[in-house]
Amino acid sequence: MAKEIYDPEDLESLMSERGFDELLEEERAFVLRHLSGRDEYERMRALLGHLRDAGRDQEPLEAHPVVKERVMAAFREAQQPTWRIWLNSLGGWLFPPQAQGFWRPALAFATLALVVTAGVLGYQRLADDRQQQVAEVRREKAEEPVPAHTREQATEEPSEELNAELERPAEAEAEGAAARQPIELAEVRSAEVVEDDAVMKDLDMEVAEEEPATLRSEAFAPAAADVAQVQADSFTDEMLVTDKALSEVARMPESQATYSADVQEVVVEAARTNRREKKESGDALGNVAMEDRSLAANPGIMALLQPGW
Amino acid sequence: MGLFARELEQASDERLMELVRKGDEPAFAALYDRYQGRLMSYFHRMLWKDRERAQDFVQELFTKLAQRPESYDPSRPFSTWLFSVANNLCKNEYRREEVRKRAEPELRYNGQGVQEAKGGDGVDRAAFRERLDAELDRLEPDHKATFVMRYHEDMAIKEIAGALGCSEGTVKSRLFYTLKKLAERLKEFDPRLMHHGQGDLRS
Repeated sequence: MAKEIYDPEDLESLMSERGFDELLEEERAFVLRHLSGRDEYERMRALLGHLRDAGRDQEPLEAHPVVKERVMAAFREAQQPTWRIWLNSLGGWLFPPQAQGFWRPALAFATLALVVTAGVLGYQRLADDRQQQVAEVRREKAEEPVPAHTREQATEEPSEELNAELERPAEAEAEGAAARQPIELAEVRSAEVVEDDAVMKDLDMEVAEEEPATLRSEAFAPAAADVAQVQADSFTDEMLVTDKALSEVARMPESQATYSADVQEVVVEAARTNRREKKESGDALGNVAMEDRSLAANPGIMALLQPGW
Repeated sequence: MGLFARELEQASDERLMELVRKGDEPAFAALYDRYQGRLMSYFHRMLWKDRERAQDFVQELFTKLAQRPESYDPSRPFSTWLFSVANNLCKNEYRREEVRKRAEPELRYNGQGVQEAKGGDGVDRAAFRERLDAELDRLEPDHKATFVMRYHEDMAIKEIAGALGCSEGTVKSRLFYTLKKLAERLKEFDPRLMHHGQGDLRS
């Protein structure tokens, strides 16, 4: 027969109500299947009685009210949003309750200030490099033809100190060129006048020497007019070329002063060469006229021409 | 949405716990008021009648509940779950106490120091409680917890089984052998023996 499972509720109810001697035969058989005998039953019965009495007499225990306050505070803290907890922790870190704890935020802020200072200095250095690059670009732009008054305004700006230093040689050259310009113009014009007077004198002398009669002068009048016209055109062309070159030079920027001065010299030289060539061509025409005049002196030719007249 | 005070009093533990999980502070306070006394008594019994320690454990238990209300399994009765947590806390404390006991062997668990019950017509209840606590401390933790839950907290076999995570048969077996052992160790409080002893003295 399998052993019956002990059911304390059944056995306890028996023990609490009746003693071993008061049990029925069936109940006693049930008890004896689990317990050794009467003594054990009675000891256990007594123990259960003492336990009930002890529990009845014992005062209920209550936790201190502080415990409830702490627990409720923990509940409220747990219900706070995460960002508020983060802010609280940040505040505790920034303002520690003890003075010894201030070295942490102080060190952190010092490090932050160092990083910011290094960043600003680095940025300024980078910005300076960029400004130098921009200055070079502006210098290249300044080499383009710009009106003189605009260039002067640009050079007078105080913010372009580095540019001014870079442009100083160009200005000096431009000033030198500007200083040289009137002298050379004066030389060119005085030379032109002298040479032109000389040409005219030569022509007059030649005409005066070679013109024996009015007929001769009338006969060679067209050729002389041609020579005079050619000389006048040459002079006009020279003057135009010279004036044009000078106006071009005047319109050029100071940054191209050196270049323009060279161009001016070249132009003046070209004008001289042109004038010299024209003069030579004029001399050639004069010779032709002289030859024509020598034909008029030829009696044979004159004889042939007489019937026509 | 929270409940009024009367509704909180009448609400079931599980309903209150549902509100606690939603952040309802009054519901949490109601649960605390409902269980702090029982837990205080349980810890007091389980932790060597140390009232301060029992208070600390009540606070620890409800703090855990406040911080992690989602750890409660709604499929289980709240009281069962709560006492299972309390029992686990006690087990941890027993382990720690075991370490302390090895370090200081004579500090605690000195059964020789327990005051013997005095003879007389009635049983000295204070002496009995003291002796009972001493004997309970000598029991295995699971047996002690089963005994305390059953005879001090008046919990049903099913509840104890749920709290301790064992079968009802195991609980019954533990209770039977614990009661039998304690009856044997505390037989001096058996009135029949006391009367026999007095009769022997008289004779």
